[in-house]
Amino acid sequence: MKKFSFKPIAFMMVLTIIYTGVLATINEATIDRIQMNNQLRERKAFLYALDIDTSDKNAEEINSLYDDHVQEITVSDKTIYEGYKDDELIGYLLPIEGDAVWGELKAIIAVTPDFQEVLGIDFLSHNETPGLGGRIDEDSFKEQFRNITLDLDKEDDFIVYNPDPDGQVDSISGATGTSNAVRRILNNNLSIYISEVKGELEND
Amino acid sequence: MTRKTKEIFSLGILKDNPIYRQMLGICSALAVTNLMTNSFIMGLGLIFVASFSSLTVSIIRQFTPKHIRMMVQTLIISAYVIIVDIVLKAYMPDMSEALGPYVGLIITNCIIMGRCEAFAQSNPPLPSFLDGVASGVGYASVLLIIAFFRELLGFGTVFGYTVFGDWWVNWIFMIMPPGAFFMLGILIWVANYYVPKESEEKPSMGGAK
Repeated sequence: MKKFSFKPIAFMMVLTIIYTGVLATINEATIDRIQMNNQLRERKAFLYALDIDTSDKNAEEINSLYDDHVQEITVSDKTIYEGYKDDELIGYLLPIEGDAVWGELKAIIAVTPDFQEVLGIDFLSHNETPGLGGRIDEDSFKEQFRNITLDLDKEDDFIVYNPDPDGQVDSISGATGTSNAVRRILNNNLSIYISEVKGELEND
Repeated sequence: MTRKTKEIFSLGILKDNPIYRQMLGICSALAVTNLMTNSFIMGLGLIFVASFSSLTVSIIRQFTPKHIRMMVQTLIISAYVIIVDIVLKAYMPDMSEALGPYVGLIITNCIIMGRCEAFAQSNPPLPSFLDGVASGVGYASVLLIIAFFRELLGFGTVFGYTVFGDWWVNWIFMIMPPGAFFMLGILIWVANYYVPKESEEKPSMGGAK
């Protein structure tokens, strides 16, 4: 047997320490920027859900649009957002969370103040397969959610896919799993918001 | 440019091109080539990682215990890939999102490890660095060629600028994965026909297995 030597271990450790140091420094130097980018992306998504155009806008304009249109509030321990247009409340932005096919999915859905109609939806993060389930990010899918009505008498199937007679949205062909997961997550979250948050908001 | 440098570049870019000769890095070549901008950034990322990994591996090659060299190479490569990832996230967030997981997957791109193992491990730093650049350029140029046709036919644009007018009907097929397979196949066919092979008698500079 070969004689045991500490040299490879020491070598690897030294190298690891050097590279970790370099990476940590770079990370530290850019962390603020990355956080700002992420926040900007989130804000764009919120504005998109409210159907406010952010294309060709720079960071500053988006931030000022966000400040004009979105206000964070807390209702029964949940953080939701109020959406304003011309200083008039046009709806609520509800954060959506759940497990899709490959992992956690986060989205934001905008509904009218009476929860009867969806204004729009945008996905903040997900791990779906690019080109298949990942196509939920495409406008052609998201735009379908604009102005669909929610039947509040139902218990939890507010969003219904075609070809159901009550269908409002086309699912993505080739991505049935993700499509169904998105529907399930939206319906579950909406049902919680409608039963817990809606009443609370009306009492205020 | 010395003869040796010339040879490194002609091997890396044409005669021993990582994609159509060594058949390495195919996965990302298929994945990111539906837009030229994506391919360009991916190519730059790979050039950076390949060249600096080769350089580093070459510099420390005399001190590296032979039996852990693969581990050392992987560590070095992943460090550079993380740098690329962080820089993209910080300064080009849209691009970072468009490339998605493929930036991280540069780590597993056989081109880089192949060059480290086949060239940098047994050559001085400067030629190793150039070899990494050459392989990266070879990879990037193939990506750009594929992306050019896919974007032109699939979107009617080049680097996002509209080339064809309204009369053009986009070939959706080209921007979907099968389009990449067909383009790559055609490219390999054309390249194998026109680009001279490295002569048989000359000992090969080596490619990854």
